[in-house]
Amino acid sequence: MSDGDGVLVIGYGNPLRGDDGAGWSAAELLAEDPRAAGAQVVICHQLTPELAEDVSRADLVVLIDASAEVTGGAAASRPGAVEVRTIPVAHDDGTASTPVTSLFSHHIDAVRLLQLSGALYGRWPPAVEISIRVADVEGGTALSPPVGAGLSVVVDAVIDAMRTHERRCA
Amino acid sequence: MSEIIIDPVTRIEGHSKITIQLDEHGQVVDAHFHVTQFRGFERICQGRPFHEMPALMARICGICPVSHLIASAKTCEEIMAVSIPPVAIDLRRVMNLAQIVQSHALSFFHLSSPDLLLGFDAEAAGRNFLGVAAAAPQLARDGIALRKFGQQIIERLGGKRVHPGWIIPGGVSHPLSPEVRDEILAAIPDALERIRRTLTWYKANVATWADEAAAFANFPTLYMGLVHETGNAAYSDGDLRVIDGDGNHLADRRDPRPYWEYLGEAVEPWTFLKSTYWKDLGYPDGLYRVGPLARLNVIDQLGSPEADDELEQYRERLGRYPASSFYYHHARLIEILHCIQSIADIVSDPVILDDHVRAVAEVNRSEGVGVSEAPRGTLLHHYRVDDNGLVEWANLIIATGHNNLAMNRGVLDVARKYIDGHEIEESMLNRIEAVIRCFDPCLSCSTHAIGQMPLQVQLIGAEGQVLDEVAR
Repeated sequence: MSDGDGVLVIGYGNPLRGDDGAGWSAAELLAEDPRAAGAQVVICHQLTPELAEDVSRADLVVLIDASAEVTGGAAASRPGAVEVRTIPVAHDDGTASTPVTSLFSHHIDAVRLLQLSGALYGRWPPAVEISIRVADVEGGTALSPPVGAGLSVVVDAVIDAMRTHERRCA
Repeated sequence: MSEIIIDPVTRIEGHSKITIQLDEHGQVVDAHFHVTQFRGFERICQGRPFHEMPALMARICGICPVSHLIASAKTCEEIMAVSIPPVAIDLRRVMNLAQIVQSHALSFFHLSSPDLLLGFDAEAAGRNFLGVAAAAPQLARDGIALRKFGQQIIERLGGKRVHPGWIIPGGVSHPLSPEVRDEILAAIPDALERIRRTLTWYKANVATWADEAAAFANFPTLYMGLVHETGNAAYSDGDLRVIDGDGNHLADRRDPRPYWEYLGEAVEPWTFLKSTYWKDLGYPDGLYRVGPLARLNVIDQLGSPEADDELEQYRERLGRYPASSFYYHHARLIEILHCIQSIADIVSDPVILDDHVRAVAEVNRSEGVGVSEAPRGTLLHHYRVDDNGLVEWANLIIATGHNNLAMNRGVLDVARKYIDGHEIEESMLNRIEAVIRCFDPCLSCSTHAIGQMPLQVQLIGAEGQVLDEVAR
């Protein structure tokens, strides 16, 4: 049962900083992928509070980002490795289930974006974060070979997340 | 001699640090607002074709790229020696006004409202936009919506909300479509409702910030801004007006382009940010302010009825030439109202759909200066080119540079008021940062900064020993 506007995919990063643009590139591929037809695809440099209203309207939010952090084992530390993480849901009181760090400026992280969605617009939809491990974030518009090769894995992971969500809602 | 360091200042555009020097009795003797990072766009652009400058210079800043587009395009048009079509001027005005709305909304709601709403002494971990969302969700929603209003106009006109490429030397790349005109007009009522509600909230609460208003860079300076021939506010064009703290005109309807005749640029070893000063008064006495507070001081009126009513109330309450930088906040809200109304006025005129929006020419002069009002104040670009139109030299004077002397003086005044003894008090840190935030400095623009650092504050004793240290 859907009570929102469907799937929202947000690909973000800086396309002028090499692999940091991987989220941007993957979102561009998804926008052209017939398997993702019907999904709203947003491409931006960073997550900002202005996205909270769009997030609140979605049934599922998929965030695609480049990552320099290694949270898995050795395989996850390879450039081009793709990690899928379900973003923790809110507590009953609507607060985040992960520690709130100080908001430094005008950009926010994924959990804080969802928290804003809940606080301001009353909905905290399920969300998945898909990240691809970077090799090179120096200046330039080209992705490194392993990250470029990993984009299709990212796209497939997004499609999997959408299908899993559809099955749950069926 | 002791020293306190705040490194970096949080919730501003870019990053910096502050040092406060104490004497052996713990009294503040000096303070500096340091800008410690550098990218050097004035050098990067050398050798590039002049017509690339708007797109290149817009990369200086992700918040106010439109200001750099406009100032740069106007500089290029000086080099081309062309007058651009009137509709192109109006279309650029719409984009510039939209940018002022979104930038002011960011400054007021996202960066400064946590202090105003939650208190300057509220716990730092919760004093942020999420805290505002929890305590006053309507205020947060209004901030988000107003920023989106400006961003969406920029995106509709320029194709994207950050670094749009629509403004080019000679005009704009394509005319306004009726569909986009209608979308812009449809968004006006909601935006007006939100800024009216915010102004009501601000005015109802302003008395609670009386201590900060009295202490935040509250001293007379010169004020600078662009005005139309009528004396009303000008944002994309206009001539220079400079007044002193009593409203006496030091310059009026002056051509702003030969800035070297009236402005000096001082370089200090402790910062990458140049300090500009009014030449007639010398350095550092020629300090002046630009941006919303200064603009409301120098203009006769804004030029839109409802905003002028707000301006009249503002002047009745604060006097004709308010000196406290705390009132940058109020001035921003009034400017948001004026900008929304002005956008509606410009876009409602059927002539805005005219398709003659670009003049074409090559190099006809070797030098040009372009001037406009950015959200934070007057912006000047100056280029010299060779016979082939390749940039040989460039100089940029950015709002944060104009305000640098006043910001430093403001930090010193707040430090003197709030520092007592040799321990770092949160209340002092909060207010030092907040006085800087009043100016909404954009260090990305002024020094093209990049990177982030954790907050570090050190208190260093007379013998160089660390007396206290705080990390945020």
